[in-house]
Amino acid sequence: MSKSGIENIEEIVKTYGKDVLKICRYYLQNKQDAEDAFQEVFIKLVRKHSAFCGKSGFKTWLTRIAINTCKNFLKSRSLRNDTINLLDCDDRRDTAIYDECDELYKIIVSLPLDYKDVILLKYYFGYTSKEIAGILKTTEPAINSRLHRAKIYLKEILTERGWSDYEYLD
Amino acid sequence: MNISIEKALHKGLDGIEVQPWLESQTIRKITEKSKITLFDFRLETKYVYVAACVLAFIIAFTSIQPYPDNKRFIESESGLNQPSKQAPASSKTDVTGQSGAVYHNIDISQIVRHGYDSDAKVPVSFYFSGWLMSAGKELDIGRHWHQQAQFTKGDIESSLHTTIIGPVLPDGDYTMTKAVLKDDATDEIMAYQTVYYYFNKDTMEFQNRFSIFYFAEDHFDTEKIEQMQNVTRTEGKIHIDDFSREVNVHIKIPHVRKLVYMENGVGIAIEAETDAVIIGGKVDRGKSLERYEQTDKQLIALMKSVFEK
Repeated sequence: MSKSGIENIEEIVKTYGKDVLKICRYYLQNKQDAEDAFQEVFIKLVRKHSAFCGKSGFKTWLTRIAINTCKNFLKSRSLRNDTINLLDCDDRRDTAIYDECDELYKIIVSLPLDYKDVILLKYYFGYTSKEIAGILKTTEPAINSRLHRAKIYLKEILTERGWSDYEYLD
Repeated sequence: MNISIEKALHKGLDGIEVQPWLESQTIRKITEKSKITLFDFRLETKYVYVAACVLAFIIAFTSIQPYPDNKRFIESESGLNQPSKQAPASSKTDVTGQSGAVYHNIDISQIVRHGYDSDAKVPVSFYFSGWLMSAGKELDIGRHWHQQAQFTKGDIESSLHTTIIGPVLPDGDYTMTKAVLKDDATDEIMAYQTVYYYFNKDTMEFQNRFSIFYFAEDHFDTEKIEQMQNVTRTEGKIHIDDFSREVNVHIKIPHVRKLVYMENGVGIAIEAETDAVIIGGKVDRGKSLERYEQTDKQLIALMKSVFEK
């Protein structure tokens, strides 16, 4: 990213936009909010480009901005007492092709935020624990512990629902 | 059922595409905003050069002064914590605000505090800044106090969803520091602290200190805060628990007392701290308690002044 921060913004939006939108949809579960958050992420990126010191990778930094932006959206949503009905959300697929994957996805996106963070970053984006610690500004042991607890929590939910033989991830 | 978290995430997210209109609208918004940003950036750069020149001049000027000028006084704006303007470096006159408080722009480390050990038994407590760090809802997430310089009053008020009100300060000489408690994971501001250090301007000895905290309840354990709360307001009247003399411990740390109040999801806490009175190298219990009571009255006046505005 250049000093001005905008010379190659078009390229940045094109390159990273899809991942940013995925993060927004994952956290916000609402198309309209996700699109608003998407725009906010790139506006913040330009505004804060001078804070990018290059210690972490650009994508890592952008991911952190995207996650923080979504959490701020969630906070303002809770202040407005808005709620999202997962059955109405746009990620609900056509009932004809709705399967266990969709059901598990719906459970994952309803997990507590701490668990959602690590699950998305680890199992979708494939970041290492060290990279996740950098994104979430915490320590590697804390991330490993959170991942462990997230999986236990998820397993408990799935067991309650009779999903005792699902493929467990180590 | 043979599915995995990975598969579920891919099923849920892989199909998401950025629509061309969203891309172009985002780029347009950025371009519009960046025109202002670029202008500001150049302006700021220019100011940096000017500021550097001014700073160099000040350093050169003060370095040839025959004596150190560490008594630069700033007028307290309307008797509150915010200095209205900095007096010239050569000013030797105390300028007092409406409340009588005088703000001194000095380094906190210049304020002298005496360590002591004693068998005298006087009230003590713990520091609210530390307590807030331990009262967060999610204890495995890091949080730290940061100097506030990079945040505006607007940033803090917006994060904490409240208006930050400056108290009417006791008369005397003080200096001030500010800090914010931030959630390391989200960078959100959880609490804001302003500390007023009172000291003897001739000897630079510490007299007492008042810390004022504003914090957003939703970041903290509500039950813990309720237990801490000792200020209530009914029908416009403020009720504050009595000054407790019962705490009876061996002291090595100064007396601290807190008043904590919660309303509409926003907490205000005011903490007072003062050293014991030492005579002949020993703590004088009676005089210490007198000093504590005096500080306590000031503490209650501060809390009321925040409410009454």
